[in-house]
Amino acid sequence: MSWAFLRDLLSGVNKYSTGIGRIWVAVVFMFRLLVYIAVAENIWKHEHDEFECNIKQPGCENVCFDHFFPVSHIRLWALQLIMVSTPSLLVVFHVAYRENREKHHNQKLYRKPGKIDGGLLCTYLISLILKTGVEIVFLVLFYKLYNGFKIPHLVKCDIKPCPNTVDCYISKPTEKMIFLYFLVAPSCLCIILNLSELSYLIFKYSIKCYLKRHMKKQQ
Amino acid sequence: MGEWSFLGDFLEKVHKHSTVVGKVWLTVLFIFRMLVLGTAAESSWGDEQSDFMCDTQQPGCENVCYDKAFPISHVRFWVLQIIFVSTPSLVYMGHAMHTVRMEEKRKMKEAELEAQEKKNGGDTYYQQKCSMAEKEAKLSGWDEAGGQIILRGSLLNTYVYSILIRTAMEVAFIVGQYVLYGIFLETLYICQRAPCPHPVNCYVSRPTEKNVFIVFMLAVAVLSLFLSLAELYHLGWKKAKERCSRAYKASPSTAPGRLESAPQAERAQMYTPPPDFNQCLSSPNGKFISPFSNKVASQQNTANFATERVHGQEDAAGEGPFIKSSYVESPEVASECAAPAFPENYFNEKRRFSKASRASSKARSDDLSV
Repeated sequence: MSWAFLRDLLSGVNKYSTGIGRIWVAVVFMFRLLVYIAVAENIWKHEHDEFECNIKQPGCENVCFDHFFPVSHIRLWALQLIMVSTPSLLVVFHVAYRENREKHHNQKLYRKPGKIDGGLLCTYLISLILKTGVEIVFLVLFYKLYNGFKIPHLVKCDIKPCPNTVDCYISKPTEKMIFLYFLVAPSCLCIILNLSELSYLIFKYSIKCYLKRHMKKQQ
Repeated sequence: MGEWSFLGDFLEKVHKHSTVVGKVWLTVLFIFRMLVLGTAAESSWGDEQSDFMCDTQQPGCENVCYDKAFPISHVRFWVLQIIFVSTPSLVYMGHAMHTVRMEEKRKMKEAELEAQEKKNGGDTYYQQKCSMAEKEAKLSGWDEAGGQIILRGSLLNTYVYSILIRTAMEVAFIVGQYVLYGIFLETLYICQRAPCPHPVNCYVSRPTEKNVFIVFMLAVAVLSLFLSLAELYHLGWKKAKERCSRAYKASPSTAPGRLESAPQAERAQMYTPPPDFNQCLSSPNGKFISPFSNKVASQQNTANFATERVHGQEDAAGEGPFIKSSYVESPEVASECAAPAFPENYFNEKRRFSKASRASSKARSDDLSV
């Protein structure tokens, strides 16, 4: 799986971000993308093969695994990474639209197409809200699907065709739990970064607006 | 291996703005840690669970025993170690990039100002702004000519803190590895955990090969730790020098109390007349003549120090020395041929040195002995 596309996308986003936005990109790269690619994929690679139930009944292991892991952690994690990075595309598109418009009209319409002001500010704020929303949704999803962020080493399963309540053993539960926390902690950090960037931008531009109005009144 | 290119790209930028020891550390990180981990170690640990065999047919026993033996695999542990050890460098890089960006903004502003002033034709204001901007650039630590960031001020602080945190992380991970696994991996692991019916022999796959890599990665971690400590020492030395030079620039006179703590020989040497004074007395031919020997001067200085010690406290408490100077500032003094440094007993007499006396080659009774 090539994540180079996501990397290039986020590098492009970096150009039009504030300082906090750049920290967000660095956190996403280092603590989420890199950890996912270098580590998580390998831990969850053979999770189905290594899932073992104390029974010889054919099909019992399959149904039990499917019951306890409707969507594997690793797939949800990948989806989260993609969905969290996508709202930043809105900003990139808007800047490209501005540059295109300037080219089309053959004159300088904006002070600087990449500067966060006016319409681009709204787009940026919307992207921040979307990013935060996606993070929260996925965290809640993880929590609900897997009953908290714990991975037990033993689960009891009594779904047909298992003839009775059967002990099933998950592979590498401790390691998986450690890296699940590695999913949750940077997620929470990213939420905090997004919220602080949001409040910073709103505060900065409301002060600007207020000062402009004040100057106009004085004149 | 492709996954490490993410981190590699980030660290390339850090490489540009590091000290020599920092560059060596980064090279060690790239080659001996990332490359080795990505190529060799991963494949060695590839079949770690599938080939982890327990002497039992009880379903689930192997799973739980593997989980107990390896709460976190060595390879994953080393990946985390690399990430945590690299993170402080990225914080430093963020600060450095911020400095670069501020510098670029300053240049743009300068260019704008220049264009504006050329239009308006107002020279003085532009010159003032330019000089202010230059001062800002100096403070920011940006070298125009080299396009390099100079490590000073807050950037140097960030760099030092990043190395401190990096060192702490290295130590933590080395200790953590020892606590989790000890140094070597044993072939046999005896496991007693439900649902295993009794203590069961479990056999680790490829223990010798794994041990080779464990020892290698441990050695590289210790080497990195050593390099970090060497860099800290080098920077600490640099910072101490910077502080000393700043202290001399800020307050040229050294307090009498401080003088007393220095050894006498040093003090004697400090107070031999500076070359600039001699140059003032040079012959009309332009040849440099030293009218007195250092030995005689140092003897006089020793005597002067004795006097100084007595009067030192008074000077400090009272109106203070009449003329303050420092040997660090002697280059400036040389250009002006202004007042040279004199021991403090002269200050008691509050005598202003006239230009005539400086230029004169006549020995006066109160001057340093000749």
